[in-house]
Amino acid sequence: MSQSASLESEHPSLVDSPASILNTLPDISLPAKVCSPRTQQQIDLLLLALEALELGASEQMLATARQLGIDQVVKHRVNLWRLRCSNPWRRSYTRDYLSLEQAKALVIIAGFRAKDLMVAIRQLLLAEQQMREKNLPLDNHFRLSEYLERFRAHFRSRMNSRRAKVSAYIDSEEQLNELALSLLHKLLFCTGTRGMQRVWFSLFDGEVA
Amino acid sequence: MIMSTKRQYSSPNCNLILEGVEDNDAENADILSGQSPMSTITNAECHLLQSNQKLSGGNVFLTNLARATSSYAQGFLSGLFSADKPSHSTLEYPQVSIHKTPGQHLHRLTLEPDPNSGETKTEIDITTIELFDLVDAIDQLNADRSVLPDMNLELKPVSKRYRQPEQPLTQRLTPVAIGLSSLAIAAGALFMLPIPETTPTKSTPLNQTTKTQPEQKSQKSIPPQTSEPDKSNQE
Repeated sequence: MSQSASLESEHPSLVDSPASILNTLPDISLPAKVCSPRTQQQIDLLLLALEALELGASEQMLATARQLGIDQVVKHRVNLWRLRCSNPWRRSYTRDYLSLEQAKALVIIAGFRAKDLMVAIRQLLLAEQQMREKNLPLDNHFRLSEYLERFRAHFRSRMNSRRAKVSAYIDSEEQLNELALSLLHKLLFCTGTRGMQRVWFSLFDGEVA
Repeated sequence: MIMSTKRQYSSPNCNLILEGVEDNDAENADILSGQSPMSTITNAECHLLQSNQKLSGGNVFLTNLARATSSYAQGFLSGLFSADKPSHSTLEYPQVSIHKTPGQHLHRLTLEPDPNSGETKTEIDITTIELFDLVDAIDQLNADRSVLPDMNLELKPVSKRYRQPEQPLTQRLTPVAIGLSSLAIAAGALFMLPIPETTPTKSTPLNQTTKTQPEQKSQKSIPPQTSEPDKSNQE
């Protein structure tokens, strides 16, 4: 695949290679050649945070995939759902592994969605900071509480509560809020000049030799 | 001819202003724009607008700031901080480091000047949005090939050597400790018990076992004749 992509990218004027955008994220030399469950879990959670940020997010993700020409990798709704079910925390965990190409496509979609939602992300994080400065509970801010509530609802309905980690999150609202905010920070970093690469590399921290 | 020049990179909460000298060597000029690259820095200033602070220094300051910010940002994203030993250039003063402030959701940016210079250490607490803006300003600088073409911030994933186990050591050792202590308690309790009296039998243990097995079988299969020696054995 990478070979054909590099061949096509030599003639960008003739045909815009569908995978060319995938080359913006570098390959990672992983021992198993596929992503680890931890990486897959992080990617799915990032997408979950996007879903809590805007309504109809999964349709937007598919539209972004089409727009970027990566609809060969993320084809349709079911395909996207199956890719996301590689997250071991999910109720419907498929035990599949994401290939690097699929992981790149998902991260790029998350990055582009985050860029579109940058203003909302910054506003929410600013609100978080103000609430913390005033020592007020985070739920006192209307929009922030809306985001947190939606994230908690998505998390509770989709994650497998029989897993120890997940049940610890489900039991504690505070921990779920912290998780939601840490994902929001990651989405903020996605919006930067080299942010997507930074987030991409951070997904493999502790995975390479 | 040497021309001094100024570049500015800004993000909502952070301005990075660089003053330097253009390299007028025609060979180094950018092919597309014809602009000469700024290869030497005379002064670098970093304004953090929200906390209204200014950090400034020369080339070493800029390199150290970029390295520290970049590696901290990656650690912040993954929760895994690499403990790589700093290379020679980062050992030079002024040193820049960033740490998470305990308890608060802030990041402490520390600028440590040369101890011989008599200047005092600067510490600034920045929020995550400010940290992101600082990272972004540095990334903008890094993406600009007409400034400091030699400077490159290599991004790479942290090695698994630095990976923390998911459960802390104490938690992983608890089952072992419980197992060992219950074994010790059981051993102690059993030690208190008197040693059971053994009835002196002359037969060897091997023989006994061979004897009992057929006896048990015979118990099931049949009759009173075999059960009698069995009773006598028990008594």
